[in-house]
Amino acid sequence: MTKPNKNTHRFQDVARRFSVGLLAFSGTLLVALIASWYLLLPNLTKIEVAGSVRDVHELKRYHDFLTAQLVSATEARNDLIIPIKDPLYRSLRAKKQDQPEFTDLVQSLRDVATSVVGNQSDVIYFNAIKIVEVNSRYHIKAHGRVQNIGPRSMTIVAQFIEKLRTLPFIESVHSSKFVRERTDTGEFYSPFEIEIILL
Amino acid sequence: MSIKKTTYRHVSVSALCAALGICSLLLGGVFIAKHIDAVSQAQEVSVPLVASLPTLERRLDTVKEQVEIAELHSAMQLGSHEERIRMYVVPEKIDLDRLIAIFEILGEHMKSEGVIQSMSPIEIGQEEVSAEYASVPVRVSFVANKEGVRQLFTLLKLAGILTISDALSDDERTLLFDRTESENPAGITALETFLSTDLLQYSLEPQPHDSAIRRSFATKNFESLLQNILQTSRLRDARRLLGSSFGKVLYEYELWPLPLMTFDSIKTEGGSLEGTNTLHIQLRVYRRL
Repeated sequence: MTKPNKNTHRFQDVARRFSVGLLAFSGTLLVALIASWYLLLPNLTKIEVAGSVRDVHELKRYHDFLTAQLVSATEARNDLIIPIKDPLYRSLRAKKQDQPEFTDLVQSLRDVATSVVGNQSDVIYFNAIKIVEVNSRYHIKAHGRVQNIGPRSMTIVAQFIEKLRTLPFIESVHSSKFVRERTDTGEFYSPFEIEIILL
Repeated sequence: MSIKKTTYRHVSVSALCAALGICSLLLGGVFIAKHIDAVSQAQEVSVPLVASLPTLERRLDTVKEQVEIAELHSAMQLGSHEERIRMYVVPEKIDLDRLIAIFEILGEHMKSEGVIQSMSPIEIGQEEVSAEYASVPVRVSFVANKEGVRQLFTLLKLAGILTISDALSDDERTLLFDRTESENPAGITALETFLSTDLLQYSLEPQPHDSAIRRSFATKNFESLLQNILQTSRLRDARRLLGSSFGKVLYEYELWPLPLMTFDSIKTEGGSLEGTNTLHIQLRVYRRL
């Protein structure tokens, strides 16, 4: 009688025995997962809110619904409290409130001038400052001159303009000329005409 | 031959079982991933949402209640402000006599106070018509000291502003509205009354109106908010200017409310607004179509 040889177990035999076990295991796992998905998970992830049981998507929808209702109710309340509802008046009042404060703008120009020349208040002199509305934008036109600083007057004009450009409420600054002239007494000065467009 | 057929059948069944087993494993993997996603969503999304929902529901109930109260209160109010807007602030026809009287009285009063030296004649330009309104440019110049300049610009800011509400910015109003929700929702009527108070009336006698609103919101938070608004908003400027003899003059001559005015241009000769300044102002006055 001969002994059986291990090498005679073929791959097909192994696969045949393994496949049934694989099917049994994975089939059982799949059934368990499906049962969990439809029976167990909803009980763990759904929450009762305002008398209804909701999953995460329904919760989000309910939250968005409440938020929209709140915004609408708040607007209705605020509208009722504000005493004057005339639409033309509200529109013109808004236009009025959007106009810049002239005194603050003039002070800003003076503050920038001080930052360029320090406490020498007679160096950057303004002949006139004008603010004008052009197509719903505000332009400031400043005329003046830099004096009492010797031959550096043109440099001071340039520095002044560069500093103005750094102000957050200014869109652009234009200067028509950079010149240096002399008075009758031989003193240097630089007249300037600056146009500032506000944001 | 029959042994070969049996073997072939065995191999086919095994292959089928293996294939089904692998498919089931793959499907199982998909379900495991969905489980993980559902649990993580529950942790990251549902829990915070559920925590925020009661606050949201409470706020909504409070605001809805305030809407009901405000609706009832509004129904009992007379529409006098709307009438005054249509008669004086943005009328159907610009009353030039009234406009000139305002400037003349303004000029005389400021001269008597010593804050302006002179006022130019008033030039009234041609009416311009746009889609929503018509407007008239008005040019006037002043020689004024620093206080005169301050009063002129305050007057320009207040021209056409009728109530306390109009003098506040959108942010200031929103802060007041939001504070009523948390402190005393029923106090919305007191806030409505305060906001609809005539600005000149308030400036001439602010105490009763401030006390009335404080009675409805007696907390430190509201007091601090109200103080902040009174100190930083146009209300402060209004109280200073309209609460002075100038406001009394406007009241006596029945020149309040002022017509709504904006500026087209302002020019100062000299660049400091300190000392004496010459101001050239082009204003715009409006009428409805």
